[in-house]
Amino acid sequence: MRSADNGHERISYEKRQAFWDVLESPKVIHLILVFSVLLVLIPIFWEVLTSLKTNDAVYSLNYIPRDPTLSSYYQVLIGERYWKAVFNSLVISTTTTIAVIILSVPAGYAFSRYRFRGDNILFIGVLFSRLFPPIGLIVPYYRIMAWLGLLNSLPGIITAQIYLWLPLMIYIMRNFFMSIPSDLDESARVDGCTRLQAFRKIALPLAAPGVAACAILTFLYSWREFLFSLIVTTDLKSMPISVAVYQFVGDVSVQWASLAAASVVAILPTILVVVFFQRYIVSGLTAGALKE
Amino acid sequence: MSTESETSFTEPDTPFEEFQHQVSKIANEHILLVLLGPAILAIGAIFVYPVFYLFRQSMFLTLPGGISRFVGIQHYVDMFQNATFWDYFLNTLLYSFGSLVISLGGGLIVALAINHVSRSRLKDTYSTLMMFSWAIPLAVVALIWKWMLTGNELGLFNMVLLDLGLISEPIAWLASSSAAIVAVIVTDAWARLPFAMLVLLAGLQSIPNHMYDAARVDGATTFQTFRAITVQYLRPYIAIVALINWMFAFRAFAVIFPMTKGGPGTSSTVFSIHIYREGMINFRYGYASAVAVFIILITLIVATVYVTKVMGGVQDE
Amino acid sequence: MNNTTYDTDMSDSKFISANADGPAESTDDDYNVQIRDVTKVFQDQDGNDIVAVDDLNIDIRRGEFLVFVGPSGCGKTTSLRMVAGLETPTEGQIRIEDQDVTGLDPRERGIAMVFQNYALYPHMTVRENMSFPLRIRSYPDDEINERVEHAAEILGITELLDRKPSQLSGGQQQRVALGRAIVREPSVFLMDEPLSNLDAKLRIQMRTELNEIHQRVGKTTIYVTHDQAEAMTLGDRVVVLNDGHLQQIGPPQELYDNPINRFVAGFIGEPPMNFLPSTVHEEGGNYVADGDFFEVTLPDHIAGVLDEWNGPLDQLTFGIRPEDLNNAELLDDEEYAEDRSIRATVKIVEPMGSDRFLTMVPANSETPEFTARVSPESEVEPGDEMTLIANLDKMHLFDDRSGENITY
Repeated sequence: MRSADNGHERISYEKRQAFWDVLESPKVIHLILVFSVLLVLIPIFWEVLTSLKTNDAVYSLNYIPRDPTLSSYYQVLIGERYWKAVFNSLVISTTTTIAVIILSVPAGYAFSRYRFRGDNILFIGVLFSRLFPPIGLIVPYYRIMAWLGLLNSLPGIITAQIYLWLPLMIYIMRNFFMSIPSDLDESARVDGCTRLQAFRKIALPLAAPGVAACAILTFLYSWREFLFSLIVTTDLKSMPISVAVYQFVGDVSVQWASLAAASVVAILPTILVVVFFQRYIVSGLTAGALKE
Repeated sequence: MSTESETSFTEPDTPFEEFQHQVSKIANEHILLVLLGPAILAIGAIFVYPVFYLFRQSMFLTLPGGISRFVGIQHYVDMFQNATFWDYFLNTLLYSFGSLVISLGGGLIVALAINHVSRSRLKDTYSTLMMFSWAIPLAVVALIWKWMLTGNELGLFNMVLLDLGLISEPIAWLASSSAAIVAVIVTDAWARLPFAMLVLLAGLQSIPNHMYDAARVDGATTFQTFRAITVQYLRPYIAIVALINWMFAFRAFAVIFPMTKGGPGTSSTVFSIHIYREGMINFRYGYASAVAVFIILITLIVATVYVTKVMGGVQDE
Repeated sequence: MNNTTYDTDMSDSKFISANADGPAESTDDDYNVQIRDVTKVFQDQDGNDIVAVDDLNIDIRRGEFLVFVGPSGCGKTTSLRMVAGLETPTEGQIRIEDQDVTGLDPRERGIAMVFQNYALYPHMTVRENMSFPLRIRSYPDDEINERVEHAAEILGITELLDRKPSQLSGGQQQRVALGRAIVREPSVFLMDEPLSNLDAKLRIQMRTELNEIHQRVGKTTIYVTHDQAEAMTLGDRVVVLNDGHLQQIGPPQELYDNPINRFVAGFIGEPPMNFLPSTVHEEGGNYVADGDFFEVTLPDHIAGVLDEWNGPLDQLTFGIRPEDLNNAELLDDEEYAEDRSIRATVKIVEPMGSDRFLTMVPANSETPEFTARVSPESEVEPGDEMTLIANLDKMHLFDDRSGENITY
């Protein structure tokens, strides 16, 4: 009575499924994953290895440095005063993160809770500024910053970065707040809170993981930013890492080991952040991608 | 009216408390202003003026000495009549779609693989490791790959290939006009793959288990199940990753500039590089602005059409 | 009360594995599905063993509609999934059509399943959903269409064939899920709480329809639910499970009239049976059940059981269903009997139209609360004292230590 299982396929189920069973077997899965991870790690690892050589040792064509040394780091950080760039990046990223959080969290809350005239238009406007290619603004931005005298200054970069990440963070915070039922603030209001108190004391603590995710993402994005930093700065005194690294690329010959050391210094904080805050990053990125 | 704590419902007695009270009243009534105002102001201030400036600038020619002369749409005409402009267009399209295909395809494979791993700590470990290529500043990504692809014997690619005996002389990857663009596309995809993987992984985890049970009972093979269930549930996720990754690849600057600066020649020049060159190096601000306006329009049109048509349709299901 | 003979092990009565064949002839040996000594053990996060199903033994007849019922976590869904092949038993055997299928994939068992969440493929039309099992086996189109249309006609969803699941109501989706199962022409239907996601009225309507469909299609069906009303109305036989153990199996009426233990007695029947603690003692040649606030003389058939009962008489709980408690005022004189009367105070009155449910408490205390179902002509208010007459033909006595019904 197994009529439903007597199929009419040309190639039997067993044969076809056997193929997929192999593909899904733990061995193959782990093979694929290990291969992918190697694809990610090998370039990074190679850079680390290179950074442990001196610029001359690079020419000796060993994979692994014969005399691993931190001298390139020393030369880059102290000799070329790269530590200034690290410092700049820290200041820029931290300030940007704080500013963006302060601005985006209440805004995201407002968008999630309140209906008002023009709210859709305003929100679309926010999205619009996210869709807008920043490359289009480099010329006007440069001219304006020049006019304001903010070229080669940290505020010059910070301003641009706030503009860059604010729309996305508003969007993400809105999504986070939307996942918190508004019944909670409403019952707080019934109990006598002002709207501001309902926000500060009820909604905000519940959205704390979302705020953390936004902060971490903003920090990462800010650390990586290249274009506006390049436009605005020409001098090491205000250059962040992403541009400073680039300085080690000469036109004729490149100091590869120094470059590698500088790169590793630039990479290290982001890797650490990813390792420790992976959950937050994932939740922030998925919140930013969904319900578009 | 309410106060900060339940117990002290008394009349405010010091002028400062009165002030606090009044501020809080005003804040409550104009709550939207308080919450939204600063953010909108920030975006508007930094954004609005440059946009107008951009449009205006695109219609002016800047002469040496700083004088600007109104030329109307002349820049746009020049742009469209310039053959290399269309080459750049092609490059940009090639770049953005190439990177998208690799990052989305690769991301899907990795996401599927991770989803099959049974131990959750192992899942997290793989996930985290795959995130590394996303976290690195794009300029550094470019430099890492530039170093690996260096044309002399020092580049990792050449070292390995030479040692394996597959080539007899080092290949100048980034100096070849055909290989250069492939190199930047691969690098770009390398940095964007983790994002695709993450979003798709979230999508995979949102598929309810009972659907897979139903397919097992119905007798579907793995592939049939994949087509009937997995792909269908993933469609909105794929759609959003496609949009985001494509958009960011379309305007990519940080990857190409350090690696090839658009070279050799113009073989890897995309729009963003072109704008930079014209604007910051050749000082043809007007022309650069016109190209920028062009990109902006394309991005906006594509995004709007995409969001309403493609994603609207997908969300309906 | 019952006359089949089998072993009732008094000390272990919670674990009786009874294979009551029901009141009819039942020498029919055509067993379609057999669950033999099946046990399922899971590991929880700390590595502890959880016994979901313990030593289950059931033989299911061809064409029978068997309902598994019990509270959450009793093992009913796990048992169903083991029959389906979605879970593998830790011990024991599943047999379908007299073949050992225990190690086989679901697709090789000739079963079809209807899920609680319907599990319809959201991006396919109804027709595509229903034809999916056939399409993946490359059935010819005309046969597919024939089967799909036939099933759609049985279920009354022919006009819906080109819609997508998101355009359908819950009841319609449920029917599509059924259709997908019918199309496969399996030998056994498995249903996992298919009506739980429907609202109350729709559920009752679908119950009747399921009955009709089963009469028409006539295949063996194993149905899981937590709702005892569904079990009673749908099942040819009902299996009551608790905590992984089979409590009782038999036709619905049998379970209602003759529950084997306190669990079954309290689970079947709505509102549930009243359990009143009491002490039984002899008085003047009769047995008397003495609760704190009532005293009833036990009828002869109970006395017979008590004569043979070895256990202590002071640990027996008096069980009587709400519908077997009548308002004394509405009875004729000869039905009134002082020695079957219970006096108590009305606490809550719930008029249900056809009956009145009264929550009663003894005159001087808040416990025990018990329920009576009286005719709507009773005009009582909360706070009134009233007398109820118990229909002692329907009473039960439960051993406090084991929960066993000694009057079984």
